[in-house]
Amino acid sequence: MVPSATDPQLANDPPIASDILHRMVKDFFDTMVGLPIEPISESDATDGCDCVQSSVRVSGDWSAHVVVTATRALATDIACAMFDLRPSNISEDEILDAIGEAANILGGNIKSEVGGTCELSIPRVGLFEYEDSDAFTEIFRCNDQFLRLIIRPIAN
Amino acid sequence: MKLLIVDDSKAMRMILIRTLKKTSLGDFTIIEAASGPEALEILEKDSPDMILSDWNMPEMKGIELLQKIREAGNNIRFGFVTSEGSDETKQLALDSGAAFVLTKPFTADSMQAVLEPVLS
Repeated sequence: MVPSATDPQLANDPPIASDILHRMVKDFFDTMVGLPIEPISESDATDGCDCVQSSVRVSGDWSAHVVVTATRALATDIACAMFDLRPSNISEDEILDAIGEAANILGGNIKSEVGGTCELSIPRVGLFEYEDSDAFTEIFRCNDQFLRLIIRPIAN
Repeated sequence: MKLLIVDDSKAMRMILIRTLKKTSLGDFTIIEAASGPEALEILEKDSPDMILSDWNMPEMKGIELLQKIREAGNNIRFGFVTSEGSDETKQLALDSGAAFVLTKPFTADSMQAVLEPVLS
Protein backbone atom coordinates (compact mmCIF):
# COMPACT_ATOMS: atom_id res chain seq x y z
CA MET A 1 0.00 0.00 0.00
CA VAL A 2 1.56 3.25 -1.12
CA PRO A 3 0.84 6.18 1.17
CA SER A 4 -0.90 9.21 -0.19
CA ALA A 5 1.79 11.58 -1.32
CA THR A 6 -0.45 14.56 -0.85
CA ASP A 7 -0.87 13.89 2.87
CA PRO A 8 1.54 16.30 4.61
CA GLN A 9 1.86 13.87 7.50
CA LEU A 10 3.35 11.39 5.11
CA ALA A 11 5.87 13.78 3.63
CA ASN A 12 8.69 11.44 4.62
CA ASP A 13 7.16 8.35 3.04
CA PRO A 14 7.86 7.26 -0.53
CA PRO A 15 5.48 9.20 -2.78
CA ILE A 16 5.31 6.69 -5.60
CA ALA A 17 5.85 2.95 -5.76
CA SER A 18 9.22 1.82 -7.08
CA ASP A 19 7.76 -0.10 -10.01
CA ILE A 20 6.06 3.07 -11.25
CA LEU A 21 9.33 5.02 -11.01
CA HIS A 22 11.11 2.18 -12.84
CA ARG A 23 8.52 2.33 -15.62
CA MET A 24 8.88 6.12 -15.93
CA VAL A 25 12.65 5.91 -16.30
CA LYS A 26 12.41 2.99 -18.73
CA ASP A 27 9.81 4.82 -20.86
CA PHE A 28 12.03 7.91 -20.95
CA PHE A 29 15.06 5.88 -22.03
CA ASP A 30 13.10 3.79 -24.54
CA THR A 31 11.54 6.74 -26.32
CA MET A 32 13.81 9.76 -25.83
CA VAL A 33 17.25 8.17 -25.49
CA GLY A 34 16.99 4.78 -27.19
CA LEU A 35 19.22 2.95 -24.72
CA PRO A 36 18.34 -0.04 -22.52
CA ILE A 37 18.23 0.67 -18.80
CA GLU A 38 17.51 -1.51 -15.79
CA PRO A 39 16.88 -0.86 -12.10
CA ILE A 40 19.55 -2.20 -9.78
CA SER A 41 20.18 -2.31 -6.06
CA GLU A 42 22.47 0.05 -4.16
CA SER A 43 25.00 -2.75 -3.66
CA ASP A 44 25.37 -3.14 -7.44
CA ALA A 45 26.05 0.55 -8.03
CA THR A 46 29.66 1.60 -8.38
CA ASP A 47 29.20 5.18 -9.50
CA GLY A 48 31.93 7.47 -8.32
CA CYS A 49 32.19 11.18 -7.85
CA ASP A 50 32.23 12.41 -11.43
CA CYS A 51 28.52 12.99 -11.94
CA VAL A 52 26.20 15.40 -13.70
CA GLN A 53 23.10 16.45 -11.82
CA SER A 54 19.83 18.16 -12.58
CA SER A 55 16.79 18.83 -10.47
CA VAL A 56 13.30 20.24 -10.58
CA ARG A 57 11.17 21.32 -7.67
CA VAL A 58 7.54 20.30 -7.36
CA SER A 59 5.62 22.75 -5.16
CA GLY A 60 2.02 22.60 -4.00
CA ASP A 61 -0.16 20.00 -2.34
CA TRP A 62 2.94 17.84 -2.38
CA SER A 63 6.42 19.36 -2.51
CA ALA A 64 9.73 17.74 -3.33
CA HIS A 65 12.95 18.06 -5.23
CA VAL A 66 13.24 15.51 -8.01
CA VAL A 67 16.93 14.99 -8.75
CA VAL A 68 18.54 13.09 -11.60
CA THR A 69 22.20 12.22 -11.09
CA ALA A 70 24.09 10.42 -13.85
CA THR A 71 27.70 9.43 -14.15
CA ARG A 72 29.40 11.75 -16.59
CA ALA A 73 29.82 8.93 -19.13
CA LEU A 74 26.09 8.15 -19.03
CA ALA A 75 25.13 11.82 -19.18
CA THR A 76 27.31 12.08 -22.28
CA ASP A 77 25.63 9.00 -23.79
CA ILE A 78 22.19 10.51 -23.08
CA ALA A 79 23.19 13.80 -24.71
CA CYS A 80 24.72 12.03 -27.73
CA ALA A 81 21.50 10.09 -28.22
CA MET A 82 19.28 13.14 -27.84
CA PHE A 83 21.38 15.34 -30.12
CA ASP A 84 22.35 12.49 -32.47
CA LEU A 85 26.03 13.41 -32.12
CA ARG A 86 29.25 11.52 -31.39
CA PRO A 87 30.82 11.92 -27.92
CA SER A 88 33.71 13.87 -29.43
CA ASN A 89 31.27 16.40 -30.88
CA ILE A 90 29.06 16.93 -27.85
CA SER A 91 29.47 20.12 -25.81
CA GLU A 92 29.17 20.75 -22.10
CA ASP A 93 26.04 22.85 -22.69
CA GLU A 94 24.46 20.01 -24.64
CA ILE A 95 25.17 17.52 -21.84
CA LEU A 96 23.57 19.88 -19.31
CA ASP A 97 20.61 20.53 -21.61
CA ALA A 98 20.00 16.79 -22.00
CA ILE A 99 20.27 15.95 -18.31
CA GLY A 100 18.08 18.96 -17.49
CA GLU A 101 15.42 17.67 -19.85
CA ALA A 102 15.65 14.27 -18.13
CA ALA A 103 14.80 15.92 -14.80
CA ASN A 104 12.05 17.98 -16.45
CA ILE A 105 10.38 14.92 -17.97
CA LEU A 106 10.75 12.65 -14.95
CA GLY A 107 9.75 15.44 -12.55
CA GLY A 108 6.69 16.24 -14.65
CA ASN A 109 5.72 12.58 -14.83
CA ILE A 110 6.09 12.26 -11.05
CA LYS A 111 4.05 15.43 -10.50
CA SER A 112 1.27 14.03 -12.68
CA GLU A 113 1.37 10.68 -10.89
CA VAL A 114 1.16 12.27 -7.45
CA GLY A 115 -1.79 14.44 -8.46
CA GLY A 116 -3.14 17.42 -6.58
CA THR A 117 -2.34 21.01 -7.43
CA CYS A 118 1.40 21.46 -7.90
CA GLU A 119 3.80 23.64 -9.87
CA LEU A 120 6.92 22.36 -11.58
CA SER A 121 10.04 24.52 -11.62
CA ILE A 122 12.47 25.01 -14.47
CA PRO A 123 15.32 22.44 -14.26
CA ARG A 124 18.55 23.39 -12.49
CA VAL A 125 21.67 21.70 -13.79
CA GLY A 126 25.20 21.46 -12.56
CA LEU A 127 28.29 19.42 -12.09
CA PHE A 128 28.55 18.24 -8.53
CA GLU A 129 30.34 15.57 -6.63
CA TYR A 130 27.90 12.84 -5.75
CA GLU A 131 26.87 12.79 -2.11
CA ASP A 132 24.90 10.11 -0.35
CA SER A 133 21.23 10.99 -0.22
CA ASP A 134 18.89 10.88 2.74
CA ALA A 135 15.92 10.74 0.41
CA PHE A 136 14.26 8.06 -1.74
CA THR A 137 16.62 6.82 -4.37
CA GLU A 138 16.13 4.48 -7.29
CA ILE A 139 19.30 3.38 -9.07
CA PHE A 140 19.59 2.30 -12.70
CA ARG A 141 22.31 0.86 -14.90
CA CYS A 142 22.73 1.69 -18.58
CA ASN A 143 25.83 0.87 -20.65
CA ASP A 144 27.58 -0.14 -17.38
CA GLN A 145 27.04 3.40 -16.14
CA PHE A 146 24.66 4.61 -13.46
CA LEU A 147 21.73 6.96 -12.99
CA ARG A 148 20.02 7.83 -9.74
CA LEU A 149 16.51 9.19 -9.49
CA ILE A 150 16.22 10.87 -6.12
CA ILE A 151 13.07 12.27 -4.54
CA ARG A 152 13.60 14.62 -1.62
CA PRO A 153 10.17 15.46 -0.13
CA ILE A 154 9.81 18.93 1.37
CA ALA A 155 7.48 19.18 4.35
CA ASN A 156 4.63 21.59 3.64
CA MET B 1 3.03 22.62 -43.64
CA LYS B 2 5.06 25.15 -41.66
CA LEU B 3 5.49 24.19 -38.00
CA LEU B 4 6.84 26.38 -35.21
CA ILE B 5 8.45 24.37 -32.40
CA VAL B 6 8.87 26.24 -29.10
CA ASP B 7 11.04 24.67 -26.42
CA ASP B 8 13.87 26.04 -24.30
CA SER B 9 15.66 22.69 -24.61
CA LYS B 10 17.54 22.30 -27.86
CA ALA B 11 17.71 18.56 -27.20
CA MET B 12 13.92 18.36 -27.06
CA ARG B 13 13.52 20.44 -30.24
CA MET B 14 15.81 17.99 -32.02
CA ILE B 15 13.89 14.99 -30.68
CA LEU B 16 10.61 16.55 -31.79
CA ILE B 17 11.95 17.13 -35.30
CA ARG B 18 13.35 13.58 -35.53
CA THR B 19 10.10 12.09 -34.27
CA LEU B 20 8.04 14.14 -36.74
CA LYS B 21 10.12 12.65 -39.55
CA LYS B 22 9.23 9.16 -38.32
CA THR B 23 5.51 9.82 -38.67
CA SER B 24 3.66 9.48 -41.96
CA LEU B 25 2.30 13.02 -41.72
CA GLY B 26 4.34 14.31 -44.65
CA ASP B 27 7.00 16.96 -44.85
CA PHE B 28 7.21 19.90 -42.50
CA THR B 29 9.09 23.15 -42.74
CA ILE B 30 10.35 23.64 -39.21
CA ILE B 31 10.91 26.95 -37.47
CA GLU B 32 12.45 26.82 -33.98
CA ALA B 33 12.04 29.17 -31.03
CA ALA B 34 13.78 28.77 -27.68
CA SER B 35 11.26 30.84 -25.71
CA GLY B 36 7.76 32.26 -25.73
CA PRO B 37 8.91 35.82 -26.51
CA GLU B 38 10.98 34.51 -29.43
CA ALA B 39 7.92 32.63 -30.71
CA LEU B 40 5.84 35.82 -30.55
CA GLU B 41 8.52 37.68 -32.53
CA ILE B 42 8.48 34.97 -35.16
CA LEU B 43 4.70 35.14 -35.39
CA GLU B 44 4.91 38.86 -36.19
CA LYS B 45 6.93 38.26 -39.35
CA ASP B 46 6.11 34.69 -40.34
CA SER B 47 2.94 32.67 -40.67
CA PRO B 48 3.39 29.10 -39.45
CA ASP B 49 0.43 26.76 -39.85
CA MET B 50 0.79 25.28 -36.40
CA ILE B 51 2.68 25.63 -33.11
CA LEU B 52 4.04 22.82 -30.96
CA SER B 53 5.06 24.26 -27.61
CA ASP B 54 6.61 23.10 -24.38
CA TRP B 55 4.67 23.98 -21.24
CA ASN B 56 7.40 24.55 -18.66
CA MET B 57 9.73 27.28 -19.95
CA PRO B 58 11.54 30.21 -18.34
CA GLU B 59 10.51 33.78 -19.25
CA MET B 60 7.06 32.73 -20.46
CA LYS B 61 5.24 29.50 -19.84
CA GLY B 62 3.66 27.76 -22.79
CA ILE B 63 0.17 28.46 -21.50
CA GLU B 64 0.96 32.19 -21.33
CA LEU B 65 2.22 32.03 -24.89
CA LEU B 66 -1.03 30.43 -26.03
CA GLN B 67 -3.12 32.97 -24.11
CA LYS B 68 -1.20 35.89 -25.65
CA ILE B 69 -1.66 34.45 -29.13
CA ARG B 70 -5.40 34.03 -28.62
CA GLU B 71 -5.72 37.50 -27.05
CA ALA B 72 -4.16 38.88 -30.23
CA GLY B 73 -6.93 37.22 -32.22
CA ASN B 74 -4.69 34.59 -33.77
CA ASN B 75 -6.42 31.22 -34.16
CA ILE B 76 -3.36 29.28 -35.26
CA ARG B 77 -3.48 25.56 -34.44
CA PHE B 78 -1.60 25.05 -31.18
CA GLY B 79 -0.55 21.90 -29.34
CA PHE B 80 1.43 21.31 -26.17
CA VAL B 81 4.26 18.84 -25.67
CA THR B 82 4.77 18.50 -21.95
CA SER B 83 5.87 16.15 -19.22
CA GLU B 84 2.92 17.36 -17.12
CA GLY B 85 0.11 15.24 -18.47
CA SER B 86 -2.30 15.66 -15.56
CA ASP B 87 -6.01 16.08 -16.20
CA GLU B 88 -5.77 19.58 -14.71
CA THR B 89 -3.05 20.58 -17.16
CA LYS B 90 -4.93 19.11 -20.12
CA GLN B 91 -8.15 20.87 -19.15
CA LEU B 92 -6.43 24.23 -18.78
CA ALA B 93 -4.73 23.75 -22.15
CA LEU B 94 -7.95 22.83 -23.94
CA ASP B 95 -9.93 25.62 -22.23
CA SER B 96 -7.28 28.09 -23.40
CA GLY B 97 -7.60 26.99 -27.01
CA ALA B 98 -5.04 24.23 -27.46
CA ALA B 99 -5.94 21.40 -29.81
CA PHE B 100 -4.12 18.70 -27.85
CA VAL B 101 -1.59 17.87 -25.17
CA LEU B 102 1.12 15.36 -26.09
CA THR B 103 2.79 13.94 -23.00
CA LYS B 104 6.55 13.42 -22.80
CA PRO B 105 8.00 10.92 -23.28
CA PHE B 106 6.30 10.33 -26.62
CA THR B 107 6.70 8.08 -29.63
CA ALA B 108 6.11 8.66 -33.33
CA ASP B 109 2.82 6.78 -32.95
CA SER B 110 1.58 8.90 -30.05
CA MET B 111 2.65 12.05 -31.89
CA GLN B 112 0.84 10.96 -35.03
CA ALA B 113 -2.28 10.11 -33.03
CA VAL B 114 -2.64 13.67 -31.71
CA LEU B 115 -1.43 15.53 -34.82
CA GLU B 116 -3.34 13.65 -37.50
CA PRO B 117 -6.85 14.80 -36.51
CA VAL B 118 -5.63 18.39 -36.20
CA LEU B 119 -3.92 18.41 -39.58
CA SER B 120 -6.66 16.65 -41.52
